[in-house]
Amino acid sequence: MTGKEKNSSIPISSLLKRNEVKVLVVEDDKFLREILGGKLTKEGYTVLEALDGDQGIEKTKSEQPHIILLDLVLPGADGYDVLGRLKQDPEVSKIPVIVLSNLGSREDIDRAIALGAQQFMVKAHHTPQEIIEAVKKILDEHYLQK
Amino acid sequence: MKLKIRHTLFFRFFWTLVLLGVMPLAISAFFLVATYQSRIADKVSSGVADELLRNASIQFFLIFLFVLIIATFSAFIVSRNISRPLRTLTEAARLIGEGNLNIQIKVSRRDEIGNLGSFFNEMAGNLKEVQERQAEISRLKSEFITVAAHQLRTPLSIMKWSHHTILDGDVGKVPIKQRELIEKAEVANESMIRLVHNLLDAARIEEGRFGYKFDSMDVRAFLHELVDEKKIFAENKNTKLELKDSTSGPVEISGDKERLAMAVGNIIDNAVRYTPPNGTVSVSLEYDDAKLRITIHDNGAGIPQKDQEKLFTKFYRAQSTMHVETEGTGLGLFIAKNVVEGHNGSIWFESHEGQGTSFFISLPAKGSLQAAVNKSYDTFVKNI
Repeated sequence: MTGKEKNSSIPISSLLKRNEVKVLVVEDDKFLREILGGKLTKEGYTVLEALDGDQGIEKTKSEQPHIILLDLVLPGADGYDVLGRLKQDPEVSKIPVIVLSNLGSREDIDRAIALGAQQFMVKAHHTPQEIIEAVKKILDEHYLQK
Repeated sequence: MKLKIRHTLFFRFFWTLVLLGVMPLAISAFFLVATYQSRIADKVSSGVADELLRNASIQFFLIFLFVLIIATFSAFIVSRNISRPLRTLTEAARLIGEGNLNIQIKVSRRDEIGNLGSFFNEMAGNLKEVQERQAEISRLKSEFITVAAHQLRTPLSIMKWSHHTILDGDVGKVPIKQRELIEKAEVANESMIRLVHNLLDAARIEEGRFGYKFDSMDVRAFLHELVDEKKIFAENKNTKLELKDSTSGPVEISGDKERLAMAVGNIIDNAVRYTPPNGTVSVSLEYDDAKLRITIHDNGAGIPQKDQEKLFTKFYRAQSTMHVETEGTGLGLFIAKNVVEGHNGSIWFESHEGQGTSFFISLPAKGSLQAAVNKSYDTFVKNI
């Protein structure tokens, strides 16, 4: 039984109280990571951080987060690589991924969605609060309405 | 273009040659008749005279026929010799006009036409070089803008996120004065973000990478949604934004909803932005006979005559708007025009200074949308 299946039977609201919803933020910019991490922690999520693509994959496998916020331009393996590898791996392929990047052309969006991302958000076009709302919405859709 | 037979080179040569042939014939006939009248007519019997005349007529008629045949034949040879290479050159010129500069004319003649052909090749070569150089410059420029824009977005998002984190009170209570300043900073930051976004779109349009995804969409619902969305922005500017919908049901077209929202949205934004407070911006939708028209009318300051023709060019902002507003990026209308034209539609405007401006967008209704024509630029090779 994978971690996700175990979690999917428990309502997110009760998990939230126990700081058990794990959000993995894969972002190389320290400042953006801190702002987003701070906001998520304040909302009651447990925040895991990864500084590059390889670390992102490693942490996804070891920690089994409930949702991943993934940057595309990363040192080493880029976001597309990470996304592709995660979606290929049956152990973690069901974890929803929100791509959070400053790329944002149609090709970028189409490519990320085709690789299996749930949503594509351009950093400069969304406030941290809007990102939190998107995280909540996707968690609800993914784990509650099943 | 099809030429009328009487305008062709063949026809002209033919008539010239016929005239040349007939003239000596006529002169000789004239002298013959004159000689006959003055010297022979009264010296021979009428039977002999008739026979002589008949012989002469037949003779002249045969010579005339011979002239006609020779003239047709020679006119054909001469005109073909000239018009064939001309047709090739005309075809090549037409291709150059269409933008295809891959022209190779093999010149084997040493006459004037051969000369023209050589110069033609030279011209096509030079044009091609200029075209390639321009394409390269344009590509480099677009690439630069794309890289620069992405690099700009990171600090802009850092600023945005910081401003919002402070404004949300996440790092402590914010005194009202400080809040006001940060809100102002964020407004400026947002306009930078919009500029970068528009720059990226404009760069993609120029690179030809601004793809469209056509789907069936209901323009009526689309416009209602868009106008509702823009109402908040209009209210903030104390402008009334209204929608006049003269359709009675869904209006289906094939279009790219996101891009159209951007195009129509840009025009509504402009109308609201440049209309003084308490003005009205009205958006109307008309649909009849498979023709769809969206009109955005404002009763603002109008566009000065001298600014009108450059309105759809990049970075162009009317002089009069400079000191009223600083928010525009100068790219909105350029993008709007490209999006509308990408839908095979057209966009134009009417403006009267002091009375207001109307922008019209007409789009082909469903079914009439033509697939974009892919020009194939094969090399044109021919001999002259």
